[in-house]
Amino acid sequence: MSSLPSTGVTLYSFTPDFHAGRYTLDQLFERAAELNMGPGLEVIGFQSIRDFPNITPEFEKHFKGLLERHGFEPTCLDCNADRAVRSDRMLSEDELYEYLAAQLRTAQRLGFPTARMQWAAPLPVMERLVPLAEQLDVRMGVEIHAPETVDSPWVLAQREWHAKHQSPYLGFTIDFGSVTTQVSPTMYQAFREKGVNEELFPVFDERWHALDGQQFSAHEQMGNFIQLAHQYGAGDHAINMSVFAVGIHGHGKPRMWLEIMDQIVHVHAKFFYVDEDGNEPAVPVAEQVQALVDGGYDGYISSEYEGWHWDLHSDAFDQVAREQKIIRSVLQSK
Amino acid sequence: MLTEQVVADDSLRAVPGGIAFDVRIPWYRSLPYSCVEGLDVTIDGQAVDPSKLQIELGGQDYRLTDLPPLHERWWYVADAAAVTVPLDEPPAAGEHELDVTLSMRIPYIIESEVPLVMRERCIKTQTLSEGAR
Repeated sequence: MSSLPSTGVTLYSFTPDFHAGRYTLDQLFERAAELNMGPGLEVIGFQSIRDFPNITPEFEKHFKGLLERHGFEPTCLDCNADRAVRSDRMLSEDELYEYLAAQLRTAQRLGFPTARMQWAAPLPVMERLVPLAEQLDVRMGVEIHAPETVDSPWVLAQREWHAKHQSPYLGFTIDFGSVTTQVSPTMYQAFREKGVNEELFPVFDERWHALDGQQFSAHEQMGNFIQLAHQYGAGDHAINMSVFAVGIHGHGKPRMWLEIMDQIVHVHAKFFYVDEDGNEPAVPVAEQVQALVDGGYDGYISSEYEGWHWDLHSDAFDQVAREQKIIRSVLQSK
Repeated sequence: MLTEQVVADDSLRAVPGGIAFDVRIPWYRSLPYSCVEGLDVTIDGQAVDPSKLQIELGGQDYRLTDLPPLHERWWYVADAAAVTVPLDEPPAAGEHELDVTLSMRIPYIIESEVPLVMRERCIKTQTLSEGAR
């Protein structure tokens, strides 16, 4: 029998607490350990680390000390492919290579076995990073994030590359938000509380479901949703609502992950809200974990709470604990 | 994202020649100064000319037009930036409405070669405990 995946958490789940200064990085480690959210621990470089990707030897030592003290295993360092970092032009492929190589080296220094990459870095850049990733022994996982699926054009191109090269150093990080059954009801509730016209929600919902099973341009759909929201007077909320609906609620199915199972290097168990009875109305968490288990995935499943975008009532720590209960119940039934 | 955080709570204060308040980056991570695409400030219903705004990042004062080339200077996600608004008349003590829209370019969300620009509008009423010094 193959071994099972391990649970873990990304500190991104606690963004509002960190952003507001309620918790420092050290305090987040402490709280996550108290709540038994490990063994895996993931951070976003540009969030948790000042001056990232530059780190001092003191920070390196401090960070490793935090992991050790709290009994965490480093899982994934999230890197960003900031191709539009300059105001005057896009970065060239050479510049983007260097930009990402620096982050990959930092991942290695901090002990992370994998690095989340982003498809804003095109395949030729990612290919060029493979020898460095091999040398550092850090596996790169380009994130498949809503509204992308395993069939999105860039994903297919990378799958083809993998079929030819079979390198374990260039695979995918998958995000559970690529597979949702509806826009989170808590999102509508939040915009209702902000005074958005009630009549918009069913129309918005219908428009979202019309995309089920379709290949579409995210950019174009974002524009369509924004326009629709404006028609109903959503004003300043139009862009956020549309970015959330199109950009973090995907239309994939849980079993689609089986098609790329041998290329999954890391998993973001994205979710928006788990109620007191353990139900997540938008993200089929248990089904996706089940698909991973069935496919023999034995890496980390990193809980990623993202309801905080709109839900100002729920406690992020409580939410992660609830999601991990779902994940563990699937794993324990094996 | 993090819309309500754009204007930092209880940060309105009188400074010589005007008033100041703190803004926070409305994104989950650090972004370079070059990603600041715009800052629109309206105080008590009066729009402020953006060219008059002064923004302090990393201990240095800038005009908005200084920022676009600075893609190697980072606005750390946990840091506040102080915005100073020059006023002809000394500000009155009491409540003031701050209506602030901060626009940030998200450098890795690029669809059809167009980077996403998030415009976050935050309106808060804050109390100025004393007038201009």
